[in-house]
Amino acid sequence: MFAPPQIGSGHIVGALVALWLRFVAAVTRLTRSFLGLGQSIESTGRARTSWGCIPILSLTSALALALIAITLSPVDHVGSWQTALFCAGVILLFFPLATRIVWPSVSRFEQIGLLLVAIAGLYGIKLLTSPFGFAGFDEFLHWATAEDILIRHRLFGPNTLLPISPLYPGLEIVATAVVNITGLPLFASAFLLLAVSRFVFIGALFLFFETVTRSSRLAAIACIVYMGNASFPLFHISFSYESLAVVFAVLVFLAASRIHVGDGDQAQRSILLATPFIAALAVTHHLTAYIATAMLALITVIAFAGRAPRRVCVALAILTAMSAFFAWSWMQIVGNPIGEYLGPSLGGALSDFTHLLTTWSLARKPFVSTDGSVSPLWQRATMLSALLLICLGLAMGFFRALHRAGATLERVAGRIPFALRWRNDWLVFFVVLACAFPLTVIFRLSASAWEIGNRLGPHVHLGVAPLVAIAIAGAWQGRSTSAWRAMAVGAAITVTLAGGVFTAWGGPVELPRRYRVIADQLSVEPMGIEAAQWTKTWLGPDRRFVADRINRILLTTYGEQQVVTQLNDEIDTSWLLFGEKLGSDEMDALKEASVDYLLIDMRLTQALPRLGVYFETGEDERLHETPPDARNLQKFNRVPHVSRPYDNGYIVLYDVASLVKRLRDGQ
Amino acid sequence: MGNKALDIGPAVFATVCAVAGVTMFDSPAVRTLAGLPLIFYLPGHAILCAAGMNRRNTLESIVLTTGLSIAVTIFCGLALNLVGPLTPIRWAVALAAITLGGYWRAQRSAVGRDLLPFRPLLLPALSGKRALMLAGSVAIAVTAITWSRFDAQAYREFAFTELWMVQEPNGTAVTVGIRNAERAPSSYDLEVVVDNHLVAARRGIDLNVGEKWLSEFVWPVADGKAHAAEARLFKRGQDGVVYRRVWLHTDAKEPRT
Repeated sequence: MFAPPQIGSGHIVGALVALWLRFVAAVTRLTRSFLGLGQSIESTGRARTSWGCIPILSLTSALALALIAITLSPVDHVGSWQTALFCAGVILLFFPLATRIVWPSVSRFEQIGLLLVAIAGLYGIKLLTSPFGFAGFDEFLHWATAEDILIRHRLFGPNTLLPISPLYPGLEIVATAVVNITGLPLFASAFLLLAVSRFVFIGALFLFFETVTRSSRLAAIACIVYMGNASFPLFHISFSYESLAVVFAVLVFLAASRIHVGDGDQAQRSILLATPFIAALAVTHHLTAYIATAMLALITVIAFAGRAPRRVCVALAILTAMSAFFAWSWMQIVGNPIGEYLGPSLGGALSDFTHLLTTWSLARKPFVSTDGSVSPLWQRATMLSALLLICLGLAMGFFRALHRAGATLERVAGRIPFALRWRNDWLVFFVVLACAFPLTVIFRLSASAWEIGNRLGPHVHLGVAPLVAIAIAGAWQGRSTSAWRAMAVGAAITVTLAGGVFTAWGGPVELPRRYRVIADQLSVEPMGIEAAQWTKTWLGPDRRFVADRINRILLTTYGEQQVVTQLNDEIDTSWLLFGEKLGSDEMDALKEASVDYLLIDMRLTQALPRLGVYFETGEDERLHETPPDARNLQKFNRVPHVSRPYDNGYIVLYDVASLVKRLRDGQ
Repeated sequence: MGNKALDIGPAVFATVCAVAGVTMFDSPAVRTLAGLPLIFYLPGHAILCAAGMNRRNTLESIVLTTGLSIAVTIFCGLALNLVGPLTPIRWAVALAAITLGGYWRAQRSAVGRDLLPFRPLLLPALSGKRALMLAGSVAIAVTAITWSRFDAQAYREFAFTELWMVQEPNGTAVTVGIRNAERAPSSYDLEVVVDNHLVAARRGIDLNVGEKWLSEFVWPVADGKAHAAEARLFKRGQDGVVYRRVWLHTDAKEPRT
């Protein structure tokens, strides 16, 4: 007779414990697998040097660019399909490239070629968003400096829009050199310079990552992931000093990374090679020079802590000291304007950040512009998915990167019985750098600190990108040659790249593109340009103007006029334009600023400014309660001794020179 | 020695061509072809050769050469600014001097012995079909960007008419101008009033899109009095409504210039 086993409570407990242990083991296995603990390093794949998919993917990228060109047109060519086709264009541009780049056996030649195609595609998008020439706000600021150099043939002239710009003239020197040498117009010269510098940047970045990871596949994946940072698609391709500065910064890191490879002579050569790039960086952009110095200091500390060879530590320390010395020296030579320029921004950022941490209330609503416009759901979903994918990549790449760096915990004698040791200082540097990623995200939730988060983003991404690449090459795609898996990974990278493009867009993607109040690129259109050009033709250059943020840049560049700004003149003219009547403060402002003309743009009455300010950062918050009243803008119609020499129905000019003269004379 | 001279010869020749192109031709096309290497390649290459750090034409060599050339251009600009204005000839001479100096140093230096300055890139073989694809992609991309520029520039979100009135520098007349930037040809009437007296009227000013109309009116400045002049523009089809209005106030004794 079969007797059923008697199940006692001891058996049940034993079974439960066994089950629990199996569950814990499974979770541990999964966690170890997820984090990559103790796993072998991913396949790096080798393939015969060939063109591979470069030609066909160039063709798909060009077609994608054509599609994007149609959808970015201000003319409604495809009706309600415009936004969908734009997204299709972005996907067609990135998806095939990303899918191919993650493939395990792609030749180094092809990887580099595909990266160049990607960068050309992104540059194409930038050109499509700037059909009238320079379009970004920062581009106008530096255009004004470059134009001044071309007119006066000298450096360090004044720039009322951005007084610090002529003091860091690296970008403008090269752009005007191209104008002088080739005879091309400034825009074409800047276009050439930026194209060359983009290719140098991606080449240097690839070599830097390749030197550190010793894998061209990882380097290529890291580069394509890096392109997803919000500054890369548009801002770092704009005619702005930071665009050139990041090129020098990466060249410095490339030279510095070579210190670890080779003997003492190599260390000397690396220092020699890095020196001109460090010096050029110091005269090109202040903030990038400081951040590069801080990053060099970090790698030096890591090298010392990791007990790197003495020649490596000394060479890195020399580079750090040199970088700090050049940045500081140039700041002293040009009169130390940094505190004045960055101080208010940093102060505001710190205050906002403290507010955020103490109250947990957001000072800036994500995905909502200051004018109240909200990014559509698909755009928000893409940007959030991009962020989540980066976080996932970081989580999966963190320990894999440490493993690849040869990081181990060693038992040592002393108060702390364990010590962390590693072999690859630069990979540890990437890991430490990536730890700052959450901070850049938090900064973006604050109104003032947003700018800092935005500026730090690309530098932190130097650490984020290789970690995500290690996750991709080690786990997401790994050694698998499954086309479906590659497509899934390609789709994930496409989402991060598209997320970067949409974030860089600076607001909702609204197609066809239409004029918006103070929205930089969207506010620059032919009518404003022609009004500025009219002032140059009929009033002559160098008149003193008061105008809003957009017309200031148009007047300075297309009109060659002088504009009154709080930054340069320390005179607030906002209520002069928006106030209900002309009080004594406004009259004083007119007199002190020696204003010749006021430019009134009646379109400002349509909405609140999309970028948060009508004039410049730090303006009176009461200006943002409602759009200005049309009657207030037109109050000069009723003021004696004020002429109105120009009117196009939207933009009106008032000549106040006679009034200012009377005010000066005390009449 | 003969081998070394042969290595650097093409680079020196390119430098001389660049200077000649910049100083002797006005055509931007010629100057661009001749001059761009002088900014983006030759100075960096010469310095890398002089420092003995030149390698074959690898990605690394191209990246470092171009980056270094841009850096050198910046230093050159700063130095030029110390000694005089930044003119095309000065730029060309300065960059060429750095380049030739670098090559001269490379020639004299022992480390320059194994230089291969203009060794071409070793690209994999490219079939005709693939070459066609690459050429096609360049053509499509260039066409798309060019088309988008024309398309955007042809589109006018705002249709408007400009009216202006400015005083001539000598103060004896005012110029009144009208420019049609509407979406269709328009017809205008203009009235000029001085001190509330109609002094001139022009009827039926027909302007095509983009067309401009200018007229001068005598300004009564010599009578020692202050005056106010106003121009009123009427658009046909909007009877009686002042479409644009501009005015000038002047102190007659001190006409503004």
